Amino acid sequence: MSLRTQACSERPCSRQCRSVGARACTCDQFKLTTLYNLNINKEMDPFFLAVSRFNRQRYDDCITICTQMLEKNPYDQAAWLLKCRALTKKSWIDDLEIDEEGVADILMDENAINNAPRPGTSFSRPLTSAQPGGISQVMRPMSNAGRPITGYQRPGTNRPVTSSTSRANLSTALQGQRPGTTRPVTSGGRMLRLGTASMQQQGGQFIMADKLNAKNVAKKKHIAKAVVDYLIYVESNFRRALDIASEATLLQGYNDWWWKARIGKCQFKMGLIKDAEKQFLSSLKNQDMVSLHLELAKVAVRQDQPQKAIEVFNTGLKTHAFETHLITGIARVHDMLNDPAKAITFYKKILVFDNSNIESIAQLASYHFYTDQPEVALRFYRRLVQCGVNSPELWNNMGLCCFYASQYDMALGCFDRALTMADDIAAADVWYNVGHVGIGIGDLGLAYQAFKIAVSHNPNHAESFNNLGVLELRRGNIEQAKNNYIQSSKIANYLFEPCFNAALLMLKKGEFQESYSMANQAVQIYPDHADSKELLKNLNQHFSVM
Amino acid sequence: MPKAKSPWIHAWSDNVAGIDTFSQLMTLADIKDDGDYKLVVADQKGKLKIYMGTNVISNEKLGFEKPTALEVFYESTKKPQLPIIAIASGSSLFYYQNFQPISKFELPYIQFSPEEKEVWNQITKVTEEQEFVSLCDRLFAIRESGIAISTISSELLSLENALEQMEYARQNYTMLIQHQNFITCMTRINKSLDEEKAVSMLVIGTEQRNIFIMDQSGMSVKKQITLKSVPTFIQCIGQFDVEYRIYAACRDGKVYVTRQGEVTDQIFSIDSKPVGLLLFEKQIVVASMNNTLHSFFLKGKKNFTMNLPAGVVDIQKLEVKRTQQSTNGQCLIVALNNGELRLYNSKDKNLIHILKNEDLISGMSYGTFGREEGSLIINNKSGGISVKMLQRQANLSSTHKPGPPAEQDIPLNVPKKTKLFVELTQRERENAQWMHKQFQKDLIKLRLKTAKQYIQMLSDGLAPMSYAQGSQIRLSASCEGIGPSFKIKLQLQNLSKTPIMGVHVNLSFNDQIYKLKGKSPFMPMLVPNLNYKIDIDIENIDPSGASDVVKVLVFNKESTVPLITANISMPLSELNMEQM
Repeated sequence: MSLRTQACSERPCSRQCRSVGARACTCDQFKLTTLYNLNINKEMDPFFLAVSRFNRQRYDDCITICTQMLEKNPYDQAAWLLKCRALTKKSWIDDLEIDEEGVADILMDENAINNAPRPGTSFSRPLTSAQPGGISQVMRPMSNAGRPITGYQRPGTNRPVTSSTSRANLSTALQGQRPGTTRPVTSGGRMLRLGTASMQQQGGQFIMADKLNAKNVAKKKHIAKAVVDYLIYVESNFRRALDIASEATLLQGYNDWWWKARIGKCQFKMGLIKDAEKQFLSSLKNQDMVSLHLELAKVAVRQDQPQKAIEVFNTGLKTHAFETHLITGIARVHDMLNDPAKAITFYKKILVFDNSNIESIAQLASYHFYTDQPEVALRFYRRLVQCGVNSPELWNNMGLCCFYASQYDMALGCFDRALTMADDIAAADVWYNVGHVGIGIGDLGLAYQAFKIAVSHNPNHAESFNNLGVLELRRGNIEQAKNNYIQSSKIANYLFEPCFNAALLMLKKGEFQESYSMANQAVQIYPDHADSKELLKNLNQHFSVM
Repeated sequence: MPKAKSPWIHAWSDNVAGIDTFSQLMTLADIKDDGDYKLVVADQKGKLKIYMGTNVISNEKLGFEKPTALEVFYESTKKPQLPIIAIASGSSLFYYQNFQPISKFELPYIQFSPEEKEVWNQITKVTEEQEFVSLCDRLFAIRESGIAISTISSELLSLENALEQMEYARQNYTMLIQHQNFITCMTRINKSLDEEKAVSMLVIGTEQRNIFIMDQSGMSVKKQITLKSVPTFIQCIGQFDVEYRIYAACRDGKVYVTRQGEVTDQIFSIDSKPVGLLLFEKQIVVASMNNTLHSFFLKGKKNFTMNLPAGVVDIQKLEVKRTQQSTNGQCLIVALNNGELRLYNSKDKNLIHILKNEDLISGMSYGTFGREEGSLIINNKSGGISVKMLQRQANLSSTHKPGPPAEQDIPLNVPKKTKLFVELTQRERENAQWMHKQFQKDLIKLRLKTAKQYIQMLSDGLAPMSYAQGSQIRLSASCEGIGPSFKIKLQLQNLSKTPIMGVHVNLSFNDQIYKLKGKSPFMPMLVPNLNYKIDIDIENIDPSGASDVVKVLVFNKESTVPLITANISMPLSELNMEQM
């Protein structure tokens, strides 16, 4: 057995683009009629001005004007409504995209799920490299949650979704690599915090949610809608919103899809998934809306039913054939099942309808990079630059592509640019990749320094530790090499390389017992790793001889 | 692995038959001459059982223990042709016919070699110890010269004390002169006709390296052959009156061949002890103890050696005679000690089928059972017995082609080089010089940048490893908790050879956001290579739970530059419930 530089495969760090607000507001049901004031005054009518500000999305200005109006006349319903809308709009987020399961939601998940689902039918048991279409861990590195690295980072992409297995890596879930990417304790909790934070900014509560009489509010149709949206998006007071919405839907004779969708949303946030699903389905009968299909798919994903989620998207596509969000949804589900080859076909389809879809381009690029076609990946990254994306991750990835496509004149320039732009965490990844370039051109001194810098930027950069270990071993520093491997495997229990390297080193040192346990660990992480298996076989032979 | 349909049909099984036997003690024979073949089994516990179909029709108690071999032969062609069952035990042969014991034959005693006899004659007369010892030495010399000595002599030599030896000699001297011969294996050979029920004779292998060929009545020895080693398996081919050869697999890992009763020079050697021997039309197959199967052509050339995944328990020959030429065949049934029953084509050594037996196999017998020609009787370790039948339509030709495995021909999934790649190489070819220059320039710049950063990192003493002030310290810092209280966990390790004294750990943070609970820790001494774990509690006091970076500084009195520093980017904090 030869000692090989089992460097973790280079990983372009994932792009971090959030498409908040990428979708046009699907719930803009209010038509605020502009009240023309016929009085020819020198001053413009403040309400007209406020509406104008609102339409130009200058919500803060709008809110101040409305507040002044309300001070003069607290019963001015129009001003009140406008202020309510402006507040909602200001803190409106596309919760279809960024919903994320909290730690507590996982821990306290009461839905019993099959412990041994067939591979490919559950997020907790995605395809492995053994299955056709699965990803080899050697070819595609893993993110810190043990999922293959994707080209586009969204909340939840790199984490295991619902399931009992994810309980094991609870500590990794709590430990986000980038600031702000830690998994929230509860999804509601984060919302609540955002809600209180925004309330503190505006100085006092706008609506006293607890004092509202649900029945009375529900009777005032448009105001009720505005109030419910406010409660959901600003205050994150789902319980109250649900009260009003249920009264309202009753008054509407259960015929208004909007109210049902809102009830479903509230119930989903409160964890009543089955009830939410019923509401969405019933709402869908009233009116076929894209957002409802997305919500339903979210329900299926939360219940760990990827196949059902795909089915939901497909029924949606029957009526909304060109809706890229639905196609994106299918692609993401395939991605989470570790089946990138399938996901890629959908990302390509998205580009037919929307040729500057950042997520699709990024995913295609990373797919091509990891399937050994860096020149194609380079094309996609260049397209991203054209689309106006400018981030250290992107330049880093371009640098890697150039290097591997042997366009050496541009490679290092890209890294240089990435380094100047990078913050601490991204810098670690970029330096790590510079280290790989060093290994690639045989300049091990450069590589060593780069890996050292990488770990100084991010002390949890396990891949760098592993590679440092390999380099230390080449220099003959056995003890330090071992320390590095162990450090690496401690930080990242999803990497098989440090385990294997450590096992190999221990074997050479004659510490068979330790070697055995490390090799076992490697095989556990990556069951198809031939070298580890070979090593284990050797060890077994050794033990049986003795 | 071939996925072909199983060629076996499960006929019946009796898991509680309680039979403890092995292949040499099982045979299938037409006991009553009615065309209905019975299973004859001699049990290790001393029972002779005869099965007709699923019933035991005879359960005779043997008058002796530990049978070693069982064989069936025909004494005459007189109708009805009732075969004689011969069971070997120790040095005796017991004959049964028509379910009843008929006679017994004792193998002739072995005569001492004249040299040994002479020594013993003198030993009895000797009284002096000196003389006795010299006689014992002579006995030893006789053994060393390759002459077989009796068990009594070897026992005598194994005693250490001369007095004990004399005592032993005095006691045992009466039963001298001759000693017993033990049977190791047994088979039969036809006398003059190549027919199944023709008159046949027993062929017996013994511990004394002999092969005896008995006459057809089984009451006298017709021929005696001496081999170089103890035979454990023997197989015969031909007829005694015409021409015959005997193949004997011996304990020394060799197969000796005798032709017409004469030992020939031909030897097939295997590198381990044999556990089974089969004779085919043109080859012999020997299973050996080191998990291998060897095959030799009768002419002497080696055919193949095959490694098996587990130890071989037994091998059996499977012969199919059918009208269709293509399905005719000779196969090899191999029972492994992992419970597998493998079927190999004996011609091209290809695996046809693997049957997973639920229990370990201890013995088996293939032949006609009842009226079914292709029956396989299996005796399990647990005492059960089961019968499998070969499908009439079973495809016994090998399912996959010989040669390298099929996987070898499947090309690897290497992505094709794209047109883009070709274009890029074109560009590379045209601007090679310029590109190289540019690359070298960039590389030097990058090296400089890296080196600068590296130096800065060293001088700042940034975590996780620091060499500031010539010390080697490792610091790993992490943060646990969801807020507003967090625990910062530090691990300090001094990797140098000398201890570091008076180490302070200090946190630097935005006091609008965080508040330290308690004091900054102080370490009086860092002993080399020990891992110091330090926990620091810190509280988030920001009303909206904002997050910030917390700096950990480790320093001592000797320098203004810290020994090592680490930056912890704290997570967003959950809000304090009491404040809400």
